Amino acid sequence: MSVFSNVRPVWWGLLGGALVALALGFAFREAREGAERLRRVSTRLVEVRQVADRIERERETLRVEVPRSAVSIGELLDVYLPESSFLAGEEQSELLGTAYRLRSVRVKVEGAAWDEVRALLERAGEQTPPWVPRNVELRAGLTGLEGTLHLEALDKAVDSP
Amino acid sequence: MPVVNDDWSSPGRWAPAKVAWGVTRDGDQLRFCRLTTRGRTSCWMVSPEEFLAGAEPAERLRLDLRGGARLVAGLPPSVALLRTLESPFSDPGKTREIRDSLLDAALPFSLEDCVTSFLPSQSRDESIRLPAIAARLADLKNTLKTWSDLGLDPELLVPEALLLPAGGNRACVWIGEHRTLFAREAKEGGLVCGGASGVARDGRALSRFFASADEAPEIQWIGPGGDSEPDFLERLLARAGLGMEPLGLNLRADVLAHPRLAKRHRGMLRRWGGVAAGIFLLAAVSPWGIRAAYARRLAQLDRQVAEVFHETTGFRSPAPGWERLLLERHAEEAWGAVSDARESLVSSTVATELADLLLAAQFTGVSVRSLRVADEELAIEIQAPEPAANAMESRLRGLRPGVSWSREALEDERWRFVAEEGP
Repeated sequence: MSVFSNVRPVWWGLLGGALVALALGFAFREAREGAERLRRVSTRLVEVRQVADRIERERETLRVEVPRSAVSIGELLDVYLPESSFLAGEEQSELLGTAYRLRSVRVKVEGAAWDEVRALLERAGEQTPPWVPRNVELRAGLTGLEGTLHLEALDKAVDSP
Repeated sequence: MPVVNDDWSSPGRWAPAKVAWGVTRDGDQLRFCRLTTRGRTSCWMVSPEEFLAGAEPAERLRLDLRGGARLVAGLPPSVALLRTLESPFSDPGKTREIRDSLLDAALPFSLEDCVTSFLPSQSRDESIRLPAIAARLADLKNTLKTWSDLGLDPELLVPEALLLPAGGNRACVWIGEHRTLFAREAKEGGLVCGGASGVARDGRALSRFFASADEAPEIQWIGPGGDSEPDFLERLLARAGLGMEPLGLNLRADVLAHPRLAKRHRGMLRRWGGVAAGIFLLAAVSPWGIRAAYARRLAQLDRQVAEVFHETTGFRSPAPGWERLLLERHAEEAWGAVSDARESLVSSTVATELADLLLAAQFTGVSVRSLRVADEELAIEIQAPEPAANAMESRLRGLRPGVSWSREALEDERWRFVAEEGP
């Protein structure tokens, strides 16, 4: 007891001050490093949310714009232009992801009028999902227009129930 | 050998009192002085018999002591010896190491049997003068026994001679009813003090005391037998009890300590120990506490990241910390081709351009011989007189800003227009 009592109060004060300074130093370092870690993780969360939101927006857009399978061009010609001079070729299909596909078809034109071509493209574009012309090659022949129309459509590979 | 440390030499710092009593024996008389922190002073002189019989101020002292007053008794020079030690070192630390040996050599009895107290040292050129007080343990116990026989238990025992105001060439002599105290500063520094049983100003002891001085000192005669301040000694004892004296002079410490003061001293040490332990705990725990608080928040954020990842992909992140990159890859693999295809179809201008070309041909009245429309290609061949072909060209230039048209003349008034990038 006397050993401690012999220590002057100023030394106790210095010891206490040194300990407090040490504690504050460690605490400050922990606070600074902790804040930095917190900032990094917060930034990561914001970035992950941004990517997730973008993916969700794309999903939603596709849900609205591509709700089902597209009507085939052959069916479309049968229904809307049964007497036309169009001949739908073999359809190609490429699976994109797990639920969607890109379909393409070449339509041969033999002796058609400009109005018929316009009507076909309008009917194809009005479908949901629409058929979009990607390449049009036409020339005036003896009996009318001749050439090919290349059409593509993005649709669902399997219709939702 | 108990050495009185700073705590016990002046307990008034950590155990303050509002009222203190000074008491000293003057032959067969007891001299009392009561002093309050507000400066009120009352003094009495009674015989031990009268005091034991309850004469004033016995009852008042008893009441004050019950209320926490401090009783300080004087130690005569015959009990408390003053020695001025001369250290060969100028370093206080080294002087502190050898001071016990120096004091042991200066005392007529064994140091092991004494209670000692060292006063503030005086530095000289190459040495240190160190005043020290020593009292034999047995003498202190006898003194306490003497007071105990009177029903008194002083908390502090203070050497009386050290209270005398001597300095420079001035000597101070306190003359009581039956004894004398004297003190003066030695030529080489330090205090010289002593006491005698008589009260004659020309007594043998006083004569020797003055004769030892190199030059005749200026003498201040105080006390009941002196010229002034009859209650000087007991009043200064009371002042020492209130902690008003600059020097801490108490010799009742440690094993001899008054039980009440000893209890307060232990409490003080416990409090300081608690404060030190608290500071130490603060030092040890606070960084961990902060780290733990941050860790909780970080874990919360990590959980949120994992939840967003799971909701988006349907599976758990295989590499925590890389969720953004994994999500990008997931989006690219699962949706990249679909999005690219959709973007390509939506941005396709083939239908629009075809309609525009046909409209331009119809407007200018030309005959379209052939056309080719694709994303990267736009060409039309018409058959018309030159003015109509010019009108067609003008029409085409207005269709697409940023697209220039090359015109080629063919046979039979046929013209080919091909779109090219750039103005």
